[in-house]
This record gives sequence, C-alpha cells and structure tokens, in this order.
Amino acid sequence: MTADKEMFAAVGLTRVFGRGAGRVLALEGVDLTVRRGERLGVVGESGSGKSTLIRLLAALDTPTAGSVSFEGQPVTGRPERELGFLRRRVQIVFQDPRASLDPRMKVRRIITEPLRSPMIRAELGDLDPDARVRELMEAVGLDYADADRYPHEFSGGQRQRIAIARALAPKPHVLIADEPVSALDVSVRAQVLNLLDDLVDRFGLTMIFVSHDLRVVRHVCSRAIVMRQGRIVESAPTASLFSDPQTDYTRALLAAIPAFRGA
Amino acid sequence: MSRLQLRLGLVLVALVAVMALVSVFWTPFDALYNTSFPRLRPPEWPNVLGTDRLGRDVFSRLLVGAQSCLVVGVISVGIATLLGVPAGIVTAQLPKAASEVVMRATDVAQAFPALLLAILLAGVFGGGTVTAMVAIGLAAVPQFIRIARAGALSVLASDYVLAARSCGSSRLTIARTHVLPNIAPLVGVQASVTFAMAILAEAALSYLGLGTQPPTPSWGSMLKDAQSVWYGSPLQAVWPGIAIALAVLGFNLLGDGLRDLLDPKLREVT
Repeated sequence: MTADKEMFAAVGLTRVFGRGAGRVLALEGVDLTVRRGERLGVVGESGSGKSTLIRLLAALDTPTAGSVSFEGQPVTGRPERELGFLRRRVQIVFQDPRASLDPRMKVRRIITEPLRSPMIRAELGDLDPDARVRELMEAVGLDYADADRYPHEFSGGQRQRIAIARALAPKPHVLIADEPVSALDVSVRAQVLNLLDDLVDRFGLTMIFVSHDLRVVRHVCSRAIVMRQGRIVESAPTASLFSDPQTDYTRALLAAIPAFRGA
Repeated sequence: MSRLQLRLGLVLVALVAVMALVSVFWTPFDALYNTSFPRLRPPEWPNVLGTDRLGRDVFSRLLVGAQSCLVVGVISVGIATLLGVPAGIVTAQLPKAASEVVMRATDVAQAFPALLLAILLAGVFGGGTVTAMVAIGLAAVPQFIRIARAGALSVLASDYVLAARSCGSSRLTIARTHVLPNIAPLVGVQASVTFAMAILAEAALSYLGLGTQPPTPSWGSMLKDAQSVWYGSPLQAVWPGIAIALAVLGFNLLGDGLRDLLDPKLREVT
C-alpha cells in the first residue's frame, strides 16, 4: 500500500431525515477522500452535518444517496455481517464519556468490549484480554489497578481516556474523534488532546477529528474541511485555512475565535 | 424518608418470607387435618391465635398461608417478567409503526382486569393455584412490556450502544450486555409493586373460591371461611386480614423505596 492510499472515499453523500414538513437535509452531496495517515479536521457549527457525516463513514447510518468506500472496499449497501473489516479498523471516540461508557460495566469489560465482538475476533483472532487491558490502560495513562472500577469513579478526563482505550482495543487504522474534548473541563482538554496526538503518531493512525473549535483543529490536524448546512464549503491544509481563508463563512468562523487582547 | 420506607418494606417482606420458610419445616400443629382442638376457640395457649371453625390451629394455618402467598407472587411475577421484559426490549427495536401497534395492543390488554381474566381461565381450566398464578402473571405482562420498552428505548439511544454497534456487536449482545443491566432496576421496582398486586389478587381469588383450594390454607380462603362465623368470632377474619395488609404494604413500600433510591434526581436532593 502506498502512503497516499485512500482510507475513506465518499461520493455524493446525502442524508435526509424525516419527510414532509419535518424534512431535514442533513447532508447534501458531500464528496470526501481521507488519505492514509492524514489528520483531517471537520469543522462547522452545530447542525452543519458533522455528526451525520461521521456516522455515515462509520456505517452506523445509511445514506439516502451516495456511497462510502473504505480501503477500496464498498461499504454502502452491504449487510452488517460483511462489514467486519470496517468495524475493526474504524473506531470512534464520542463527545461525552459520561454518555459513551455504560455506567453498569466495569472498565475492564468496557475496554475489552470490541474484543468480544465475534466480527472483530474473526478479523483479529483471540487476544489475551487481560494483557490487552493492561497495555491499553498504560498507553492512555491510566493505572491498571483501576481496571475493576466503574466509570463513575473516574474524573471526566480519565473517562475519556477509558473511551480512547476502548477505541484502540481492536488495533484500528482510523480513529474518528467526535468533539472528544468539548465535554471536558478546560483544564484537562490539553492533556487529552496531547494524548490523542501522541497515540495517533505512535500507532500510525489516520484521524478524523470533528470539532467546532478551530483552534483545536489547528493544533491537531493537517487538513480541514469546513461544513455548513450539509455541504463542504472549504477544504484546505490547516495552515492555509488560517492564513488564507477562501470563503466568507470560514472567515467568519475564524473571526469568531475569541482572542486575548494583544495576543 | 425513602430509606425508612425501604427498611420497613424489607422488614415486612422478610417477615412473610420467614413465616413461609419456617412453615415448610415446622408448624406448632398440623395446619391441614389436625381438628382435635375445640372449634372457634379464642386465642389461648397452645393456640396462640385460636382455632378455626373445624378446630384447626389458626397460627399454623397463617404460617402455611404465607407459602401460597409467596409462591403465587414469585410465579406470577416470574411469568410477567419472563414474558414482558423480552417482549418490551424487542418492541423497542421494532420500526416505529410496528412498535405503535404492539403498544396499542398492550393498552387493550392492560384494560382487561386481572380478576376477570382469572375468572375466565378458572371457568375454562377449573379454579386452583396454578390457574390463579397464570392469570395474575398474564394480566401483569402489559405493564412489564411498557416498562421494559421505555427503559430499552432510552438505553438504545445512548452513545455506549452506538459504541457497541461500531464494534459490530449484534442486537442480541447489546440487549444482553447493555439493555438488561441498565433496565434491571426499573424492572425490579415494577416486580415489587406487581408482587403486592399478586398477593392481593390471590387473596381475592381464594376468597371467591377460584384460587388455593381447601384444605390448603391461604390468607384469602381463611378470610372466606371467617365470613360465615363473623358475628361470633370476628377475630377469625382479623388475622388473615392483617397478614394480607402487611404483606401488600411491605411489597409496596419496598417498591416505592427502591424507586426513590434509584431515582438519581431524588438521590441528589437528599
């Protein structure tokens, strides 16, 4: 595989929710390619279609029109049982770890949940779950001694680390992070971002990073797309997006970043 | 307040359980056939609660009666849980239109009184403990479907289920590992309240002669027997009446206490 190989390719992706008067066009004819090793930022205000886009990429929802392929294999229109390759290689870190970790499951079971999925076991073979939990907890900076605790016993930042460990468990190729720090205390955001940064480097991951915060995207991503009302309005390397925005909307978003006087 | 409710409920429920358990191994006198005492004796040693109109020891019969009360409660709640909870979880995963159809059907079923169903079943299959348990259990199924479906819907909409789906977990796995543990508290509360309803229904059915059959004592049938001697020996009706009231109160308090304990909003206030 060449370094430039496409991970995701989406063509004409459209998703409509509801019908009649309540019809919402969440995504409209989105074309997108994500290359191997890339760190793609997806920026836009709420309702711009960011979450719909990543759900379609992760095959958690079906597009109304258009198609998605992953590592050259078609995803759209295939039954769930044929999606094992995608399920193992694409993992998601959700926004709020209070909602994305089952409150009645111990950390050990949460992290190994992907390893118990028959679909992922078929791809990955059987791994020693205890050894894997230790490995992953250490990788995300948690103490293995805490593996038999429940999520509510951890702080917000630690819970997001648990969610990251779960996402890394099946040795994915792509990590989709859906606003991974916006539900966290400002004081721990940088730590979690740096952790993601390190892990993506260390495991050679491709990352799709959804955020409404342009500063965070500049810090983490190499390229970014700007979304508005279900369309991609701009796609550029992060550096040039900041220095030379091409659309008024991007300029408006940049202008909306609060700045300290004199900074 | 809720702690007190819960404790009182637990004490009363434990009392019924102890009565039932003890009576399996030991009763002061034979509760079914020992008619050697004077009839309708007021409470005096060795018949601490007196004797009934056939000269049987009332205390012994009250102890044995706790058995049928618990057995009917456990079996009928068991039937309702085993049928209602899976049905509710499955309904939650159906498409919206199909789900609505099921819910309207449960509305209709819920409007049908348990006692009427029991009388109907008794008419077809003959009265008895088994018929009573099945009827009470079936009548409670719609409530369990509602509770389980409502709980399952909120769990299925959560991010941790989305995370499980993104690992390729099947619906069955998700139902087993995420939905069931998270709706278990809700189901527990419902089971406790239904248990109280079942005790009352069994007593009513036995009173009507459609539940536990003689000579096996149940609190409902003891109440029925007491009716004919009401003017001479009112205490005959008081003992099983108190037993029923306390058992029902116990399970209701337990249910309410559990509900308050599990409601995070109320918990944060206290």
